[in-house]
Amino acid sequence: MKRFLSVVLTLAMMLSLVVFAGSAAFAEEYDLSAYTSANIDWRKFEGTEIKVMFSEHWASEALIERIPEFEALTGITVKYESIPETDYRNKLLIEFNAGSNPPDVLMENYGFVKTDVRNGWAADLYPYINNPELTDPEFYDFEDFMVDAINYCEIGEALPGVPLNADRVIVMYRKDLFEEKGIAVPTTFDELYEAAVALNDPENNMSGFVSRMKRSNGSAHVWGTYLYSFGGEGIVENADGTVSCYYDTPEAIAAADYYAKILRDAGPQGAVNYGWLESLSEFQAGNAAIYVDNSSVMGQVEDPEVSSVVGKVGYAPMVSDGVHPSKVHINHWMLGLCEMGANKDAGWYFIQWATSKPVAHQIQYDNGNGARTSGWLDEAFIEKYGQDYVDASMGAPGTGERYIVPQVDEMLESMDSIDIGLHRIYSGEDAAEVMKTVQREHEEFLNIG
Amino acid sequence: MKKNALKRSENYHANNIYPNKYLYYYLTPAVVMLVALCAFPLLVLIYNSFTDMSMVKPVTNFVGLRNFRKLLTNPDFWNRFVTTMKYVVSAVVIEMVLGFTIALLFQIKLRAKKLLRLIIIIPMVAAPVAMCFLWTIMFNPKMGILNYLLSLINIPPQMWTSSPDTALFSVILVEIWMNTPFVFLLVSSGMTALPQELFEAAVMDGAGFWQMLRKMLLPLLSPVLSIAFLFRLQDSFKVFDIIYVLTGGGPGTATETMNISIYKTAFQYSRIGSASAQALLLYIFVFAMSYFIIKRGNIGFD
Repeated sequence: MKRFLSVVLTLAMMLSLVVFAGSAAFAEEYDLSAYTSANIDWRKFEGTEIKVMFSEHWASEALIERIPEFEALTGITVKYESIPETDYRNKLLIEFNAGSNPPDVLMENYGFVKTDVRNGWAADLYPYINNPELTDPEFYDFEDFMVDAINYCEIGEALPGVPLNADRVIVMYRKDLFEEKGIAVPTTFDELYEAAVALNDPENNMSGFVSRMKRSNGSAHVWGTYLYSFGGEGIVENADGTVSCYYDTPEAIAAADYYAKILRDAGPQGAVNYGWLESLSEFQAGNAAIYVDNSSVMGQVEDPEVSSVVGKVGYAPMVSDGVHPSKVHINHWMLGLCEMGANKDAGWYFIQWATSKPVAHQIQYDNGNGARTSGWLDEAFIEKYGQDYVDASMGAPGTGERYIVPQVDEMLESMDSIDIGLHRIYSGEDAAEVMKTVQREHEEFLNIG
Repeated sequence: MKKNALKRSENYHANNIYPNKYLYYYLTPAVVMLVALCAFPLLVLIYNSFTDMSMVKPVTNFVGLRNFRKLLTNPDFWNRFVTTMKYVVSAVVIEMVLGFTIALLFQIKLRAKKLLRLIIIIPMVAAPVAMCFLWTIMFNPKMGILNYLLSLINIPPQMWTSSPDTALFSVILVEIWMNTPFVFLLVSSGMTALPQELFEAAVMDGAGFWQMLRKMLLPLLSPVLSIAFLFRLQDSFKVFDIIYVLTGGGPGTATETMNISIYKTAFQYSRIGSASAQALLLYIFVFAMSYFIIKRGNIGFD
């Protein structure tokens, strides 16, 4: 009897949980007026289920939070996976090659789209954008996306993805510390080095400079900013379709040597194990004076819940060597459609919603970055983040242009080779010798010469 | 294996327990599973190692021995081989000695033995990746507890996993910490199974500690020790989680073992062909070593 009673009680408790949880979910109402005014039949694909694959990033996190809103708007069910960036590409390739249950919507990155378009994995989005039955041109306002970003994302005539963000390498510095020591905001590599060394104070747990150096953490892209701003070049596509690489030029050696030197002389101990997450935490905790990284970390630097340096941070464009203009890495994550996906039309609805002005503006306001021009001109946004940040990251005159990341199949191999080279220089090996090895490795896996 | 089974079944047949003709039916499920889960993937691996299969290239070509030729002439491959050997030899030797010593100490009558044993096996039963994350925090040169402890006895702070000079040592340290309990557990259960009278008689005859250790304990324990050695050897060749979490193969290539390289080649560089060739070489090497130990070590099957 006792046992029976306990079973009944447990069941009753579980049932009530389900009911309450259910009612809580239903109770949430969404203000959908911003979308319903558009000339789109949002309920066209009601009942469809789409599969979305996200790479972990602040932009995907912000989108995942808003998925219930999309489901309420369209009646489309979204099944998603969110995978850490280091494993994302790998998982995606397995999905492409297995082909049994491909995603409908996925996150694409610039370095990979060429491969994916060539192999017929990534769909061209222009037919969807230009289809009046699927897209309301006035509501979506495609021209509002940064022209530079769209040009960059295009492969030939095709657009494999709509950019979600425009993360540009910028210099973040502690205004209070700079004022205290009377140091001016650096504009050249020499000034940056001097400032970093002057502010480095390991006794008091203060590093002058943090940046990424960890393997498989995009460190090579951040270093690419130094490479190109020193006047060097990495992998370059020739007009005839072949590629060349220039990692053992004097410029490349100088850039690698500089990067290792500034981290050795002013960086935290063990800088080789600092990826963007470690660097960001150091900066948030107030243990670093200068932090050079993608502006994507901005939202977290200015988030009072996780950061102790809110309001103390100044933003400056990337420095140069005073001779060459600075050329920076600008990263775009894009939302794209998988060519093999079963519900591409419904998938496009998701992309259209996710990159529409209402969603994009809100996400940009919360996280400090976006790919729509109007988001950067928004007054509330400028007020929250400051004009110097907008100037540093919008590519205002004098802030440098982007350098072109190589679109080769071997990109991850190339980045790993560079990371290893930087580690070896950091540990005291001769930069010229190491860069020769890097060049040799590149020639080998790129099949040059 | 099969030969053994047959021999035994003939005996059974003689005793009229199992009729011989059903033998193969009984074996079928096990053989099917073995073929499906081990032999088939191995054959695919061998085939792939002769191709230039890549996850980003739609066409796969047969390239013969090119993958192997490239690997064996590549100094990086041999560097990784040396790193792996350094890792395996130092880790396994220390684990065996340490595990054996702790097991021996446990033969002394102690009060809190059960509690102690529990504490000792914690590293083995805890989730490896979670433990490795704890170690990354402890290894941190700036805020890790290890450097703090060193500072108490006036030793300058070390770089641990952040310097190519100490990174391999650091991952070996974690490997030893994590896997010594396994050796300890195996050896101490082996010790408890030994006949007590033998040792009592030896004491009566005036045998000293070293004599008993060398002439009695080690020979009697040799099957258990061989098994422990075999398991540790195979496992440490295949180490992945510890290195992946702690250093990812870095700094530079200081801790890049063969297994880490296989993972990187296959899943970062998407070169399935080359990764298969590396995996096959590692497989042949580990198999040969295991075969040698099984043959030479007194493990118990003929």
